[in-house]
Amino acid sequence: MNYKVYKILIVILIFMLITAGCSNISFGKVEIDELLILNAVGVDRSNDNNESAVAISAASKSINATSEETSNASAGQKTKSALLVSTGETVFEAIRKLSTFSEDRLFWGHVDYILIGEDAAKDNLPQYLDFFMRDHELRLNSKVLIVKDNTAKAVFQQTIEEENFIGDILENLFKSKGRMSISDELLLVEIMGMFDNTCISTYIPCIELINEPNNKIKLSGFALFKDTDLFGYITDGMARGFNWVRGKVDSGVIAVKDRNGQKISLEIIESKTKIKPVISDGRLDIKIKILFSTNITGVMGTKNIFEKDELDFLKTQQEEAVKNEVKKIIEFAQKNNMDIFGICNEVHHKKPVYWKSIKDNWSEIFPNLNITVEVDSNINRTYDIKQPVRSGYGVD
Amino acid sequence: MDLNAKNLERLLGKNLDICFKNIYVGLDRTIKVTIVYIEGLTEKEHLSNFIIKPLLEGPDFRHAEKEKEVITLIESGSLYFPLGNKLKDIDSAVSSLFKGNVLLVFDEESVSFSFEVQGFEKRAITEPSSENVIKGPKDTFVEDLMTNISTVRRRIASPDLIIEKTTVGQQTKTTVALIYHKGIANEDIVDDIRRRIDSIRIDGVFSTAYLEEYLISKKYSPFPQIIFTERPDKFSSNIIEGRVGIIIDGFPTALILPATLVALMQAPEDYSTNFLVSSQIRFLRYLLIIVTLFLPGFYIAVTSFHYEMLPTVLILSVKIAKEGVPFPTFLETIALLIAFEILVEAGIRLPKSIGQALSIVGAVVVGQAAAQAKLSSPAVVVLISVTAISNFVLPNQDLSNAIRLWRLIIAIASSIAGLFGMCIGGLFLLCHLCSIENYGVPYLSPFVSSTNPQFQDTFIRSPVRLMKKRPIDLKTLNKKRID
Repeated sequence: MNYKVYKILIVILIFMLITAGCSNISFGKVEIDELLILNAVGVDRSNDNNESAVAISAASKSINATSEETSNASAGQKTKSALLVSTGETVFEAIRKLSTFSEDRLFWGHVDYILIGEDAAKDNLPQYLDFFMRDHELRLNSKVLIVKDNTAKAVFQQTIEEENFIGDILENLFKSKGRMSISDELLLVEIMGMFDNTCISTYIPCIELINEPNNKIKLSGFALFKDTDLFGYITDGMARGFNWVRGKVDSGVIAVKDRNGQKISLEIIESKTKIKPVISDGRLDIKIKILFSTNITGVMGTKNIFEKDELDFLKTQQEEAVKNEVKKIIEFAQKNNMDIFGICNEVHHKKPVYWKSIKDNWSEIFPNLNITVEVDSNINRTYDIKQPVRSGYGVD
Repeated sequence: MDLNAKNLERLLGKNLDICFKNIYVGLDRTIKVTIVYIEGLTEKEHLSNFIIKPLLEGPDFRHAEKEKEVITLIESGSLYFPLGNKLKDIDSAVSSLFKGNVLLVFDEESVSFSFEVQGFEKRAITEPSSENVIKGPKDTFVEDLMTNISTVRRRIASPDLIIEKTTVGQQTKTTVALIYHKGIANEDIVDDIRRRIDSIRIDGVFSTAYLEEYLISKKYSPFPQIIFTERPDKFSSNIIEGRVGIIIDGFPTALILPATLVALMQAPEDYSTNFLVSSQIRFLRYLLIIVTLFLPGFYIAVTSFHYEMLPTVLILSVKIAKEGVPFPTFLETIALLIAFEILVEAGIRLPKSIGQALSIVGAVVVGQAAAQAKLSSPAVVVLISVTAISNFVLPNQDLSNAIRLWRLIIAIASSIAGLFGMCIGGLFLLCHLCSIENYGVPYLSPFVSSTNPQFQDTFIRSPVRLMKKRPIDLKTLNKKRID
């Protein structure tokens, strides 16, 4: 009989636990509709009188379900985003302060983007990122971005005004990052790994707010760090040159001139980069070999270029162009003694014994390294239209 | 009691349907023969033409002077009927009578003959109602045992097919046929089943479950440990595979044992379509058993504990669906699960003509109105529908009932401790399934086989020529299916 009573008690207890929703007993259960699911978070150094204050802005996306009363042709699912801002002594304090005025429990597990304002980036960036690494709710695979010349809060505010959501915009921007290959997405864990490696200089992709012709967010190259502080930015050609060395060029445009002075645009369709450390006579040399192929996507002229020597000429032109891009960034890096390419890692992996002897004075070796760039390319596909319009009637 | 007409009449005479008829045969019509039969169970035309007529008019009987002579004449086949059993005690005479036989009782010698002149109303063999196939035989078992046995016998024309007869039920004396293939089925299993059937001491068999409970080893398990089928082809193929079949008189469902989970997941259709197509369907079925078992639990866990498990876009739409619903997700899910159970149960019990109304009410009330009135979130309605539909895919109704029960357990476990609870529930289920073993055959065989597991007929249905061996765990005498 007693046994039966126990059984009934257990059943009652189970139902008490699950229906009462007492969060202490039922392992921190919160119903999903009581959550505010944050998707992007911004970190700024607060420009209050207190120098070390941190400002956190967090954005959450919510889709408003179509309500029947207002349903008309234009009312579909409308994206609305909420913005929360607070400041505090530390990152965590600022984040906890958000809860004081948010009616829902904040949930950080879906944070995809961490935006860093320029001021914070200049002021020992890892100290701001430490919380995001350490906290269990946040993900190590969230993407980190630097806001160039502005604060993260400004970016959030602008998107709120335009009834857009920062997370969606960034996601779409990153989807097409390979079209120009001047940026890349980097995960929090990768960035912290770079900060941790004393030989490497960290780089973080950056976005900027542009006002002309209308307010937009633009992916613009990389922010480079010397030690832990922001050093400068590389954009456009330099950024692509950097991506050439990293081997992260998916596609892009190379504009060259043929022998007649016509402008030809070439589309990069594939590329491959090899960094090879070579030791000759006890001296370390680095060989960077870039292979790529292109399509002809536009001829701004009327002369026929589909002849072997013309194509060969174009080929040398595009190789030259890429070489210049790469040389520029290498020069820049060596001048400022910033090993952003991770060449030290290549040496470490491929010449481990040699690396042991030089690892302590890498910063002295790197600026004087002899880095040679070799570029080899193909013009692969020329499509069906071979000759430009009116090429037969040209003045020649 | 001696076997004579007087005693029989005293025993059975009060009954409306039991008829006694005395005829006098022999030289001077001096020898009394009592014919006893049950009205409604006997083909009277046969009785009069082939038994009474020769007794009265047959030239042999006309010269008989003594009862003994008549008996000898019957024994030597002077009646126009296959020889009946000669019975000497009253009990066997009575039980033979109740089978629908006709008794010829001779008072002086205290002997009776029983002739199988049964002729009662039988249901015709119809198309299967629950195990339908598109391709394949369309006959089913019926209530009559002999008809059922004959359909099986027709399919397996082997002298090794043994059909043993026993009776179960102290009052009903129901005939139970134990069917197995002598050259294939493991003798120990057959002996064990026979022993268990013989040891049953119940009043009567009014449902196949009466026997089932005596034949399974894990009594407190919702999982079916016997395969029930109404298809003679499925029954015969299982006999040939090395299992043992039981057909009970009066039931159109036959029992096959020992059952394994894999066998319960096989549908007759699997073997009549292309192996690639049926492999795909079979695989889907295994997938859906997991879906129907874990989906509600997973949903509860994800929406009340592990919000990070779903992609951001999905979690947002789930959140919006949930907004404004006053109940916790657990309650919502369980309530809808129970509502679904109610609909299923009501659907079975209702007469067909009202069934339509039920489905409308179910669809409108549970599906739409509840979501519109914000009593449950549309996401949960969709989820429960997916769960329910997945459940319908299972070929065995008993299995799907068991899954329904465990689904509830897992949902409760996940609402207490999230995915951990779900895992614990799943582990309990696995332990439970592993612990079932009938007649030396593990329930999860061949997944738990340590040596040479046979996966040809599990997640996939391989071509027939690749299924060379019978299931190893049945320990069949003849291991090979294909020479």
